[in-house]
Amino acid sequence: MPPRVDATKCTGCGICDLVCPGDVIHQLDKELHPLVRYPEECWYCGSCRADCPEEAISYVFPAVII
Amino acid sequence: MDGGPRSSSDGLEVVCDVLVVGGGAAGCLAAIGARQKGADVVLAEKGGSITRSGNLASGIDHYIAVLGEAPWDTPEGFLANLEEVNEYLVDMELAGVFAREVAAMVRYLESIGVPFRDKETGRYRRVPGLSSQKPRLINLEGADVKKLLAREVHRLGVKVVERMAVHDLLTNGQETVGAVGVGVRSGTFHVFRAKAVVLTTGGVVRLYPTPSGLTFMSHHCPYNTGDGQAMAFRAGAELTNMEFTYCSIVPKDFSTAGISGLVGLGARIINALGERYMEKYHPWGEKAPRNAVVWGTVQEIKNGRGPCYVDCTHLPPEIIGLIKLGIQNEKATTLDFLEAKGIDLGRDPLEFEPQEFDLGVSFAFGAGSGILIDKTCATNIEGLFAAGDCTHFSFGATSANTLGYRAGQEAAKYAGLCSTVPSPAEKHLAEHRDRLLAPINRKEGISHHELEEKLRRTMARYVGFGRNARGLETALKSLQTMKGDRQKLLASNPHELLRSLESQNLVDVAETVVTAALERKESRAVPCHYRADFPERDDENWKKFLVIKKEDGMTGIKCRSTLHEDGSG
Repeated sequence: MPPRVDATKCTGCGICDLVCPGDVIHQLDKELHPLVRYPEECWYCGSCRADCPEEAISYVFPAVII
Repeated sequence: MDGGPRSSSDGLEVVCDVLVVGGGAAGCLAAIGARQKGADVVLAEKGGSITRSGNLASGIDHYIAVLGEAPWDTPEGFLANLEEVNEYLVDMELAGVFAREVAAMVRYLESIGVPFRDKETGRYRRVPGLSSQKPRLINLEGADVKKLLAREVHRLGVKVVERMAVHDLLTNGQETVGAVGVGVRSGTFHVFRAKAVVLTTGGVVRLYPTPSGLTFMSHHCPYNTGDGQAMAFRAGAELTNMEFTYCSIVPKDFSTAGISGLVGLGARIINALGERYMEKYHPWGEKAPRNAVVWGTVQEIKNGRGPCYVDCTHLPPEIIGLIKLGIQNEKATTLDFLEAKGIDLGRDPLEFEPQEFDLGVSFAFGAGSGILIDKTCATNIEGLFAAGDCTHFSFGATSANTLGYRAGQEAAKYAGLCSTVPSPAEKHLAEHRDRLLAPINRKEGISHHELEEKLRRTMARYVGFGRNARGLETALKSLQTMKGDRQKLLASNPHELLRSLESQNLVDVAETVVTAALERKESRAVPCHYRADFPERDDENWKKFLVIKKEDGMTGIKCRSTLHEDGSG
């Protein structure tokens, strides 16, 4: 289920929501962690991970392709 | 809903000289070009931020350029065999414009910080690639190119409207007067009034099933759904080359760009028996046009010599390092994928396969599919311009930047000639509003998933590697049903509304693809258009472009031997 947010590192800054080109990640509230709301619509472009200031995002590939 | 454009659920009405639709490689440069001409510019982008959107969201590893660094590196050298390589489907007038202007674009991009030059030598690192025997490519560290473009767009004072899905053009008779769209998060209806509109919405992805079965794991950006092509077509614009669907080679189960870069740096293409097979299919071997490499691979697999591999194992460690750097710059997650699969490029050949078909980036080397533009990037509709992968001329990011800039400048010039921003008719706005918001206002219906899945199955079954009249007619019939299904789409939130609008555009584009494929009774640029009932290339009858257009609500096709013979050029 790509991408995955590490709740222990995430500060809730919302950058991943902002830079996702596909409206896949939603952070509706500063107090909450971002939600990967439409994981099946991820392009694996890497934008959220590249721009996360806390390095809290990693990619997990579906078992079917590994 | 009672209609009427002034409902409380509507967004603000935006008025400007030039509206640019799509904030990718072409759109950012169109906005910059128009702004530099003094126009008041609005850039509407579907994604959350123009710092990461479109095909360049993930980055880029190479540009195609003409820099005058060698005798072959001139516009004349570049154009010399271009028609032949593109099987006579490339617009030579636009190719000339591109060849003469791309060097200035590279210098401009360098001036805003794009790292084209090798850090150690201070020179451009030129390499060959698929479709290019000569080292016409520049390898660059382009992972963050979009951020640099976005910074410049903002610095120049372009008004950027993000999370905005522009869906239809507004026209007064034969003239473009703006566009309408919905907010991606708000689901509200928005009106853009403009003297000129530039469409830079990218290619058409999600038309065909991906090899991995994961719809959004596509070579090109899956959020590019032919929005510009569809809205232009609905407004009466001409499209061309729609029958030629793009296909490249991608790592098995991970559809991504970047393999061309491997070949450029010396990787070999081999079959399961370890044979380098491309010489059999094209005199240029592994540097053959992209479509020929795909076709050769399809033959090898069909004849039991697959799986096929890109083999880097003979290359020295420093080249392997450059290859990995290229992948990192193009799409870093590809390296994660290779790691997860346990593939080390220096040790293991990489299994690859033909990707899902899409439209946009050139299916050969410059010849693209989409909105027909002239050398000023103007369409056949007054005040409507286009550039990049949504047009019929594309070298990917390079030409998107170069012609995007030109489109912006020309749109600004056109806007300068208009005294006022025209007003669209209120009645039309109400109709648009009702249609755009219909899926979210319905109580029951079908999901965009159902419609899109049906579309992709149809395209794969009847409009794939092998086509024939019977199959294409079946696809057209099925598309008629899908056009009816569009009237039943149901969205339960703004995100689903966005996908519903995209799926409607996909159906419109698909109809142009199938119609043109049925009309062209020959095979050309195989496998982009292979008709099993007309398996040979027929230069006598078909060395020409098919131009497709809606007239009086009907889809019509005209053939032209050169694209601008109707006086549009």
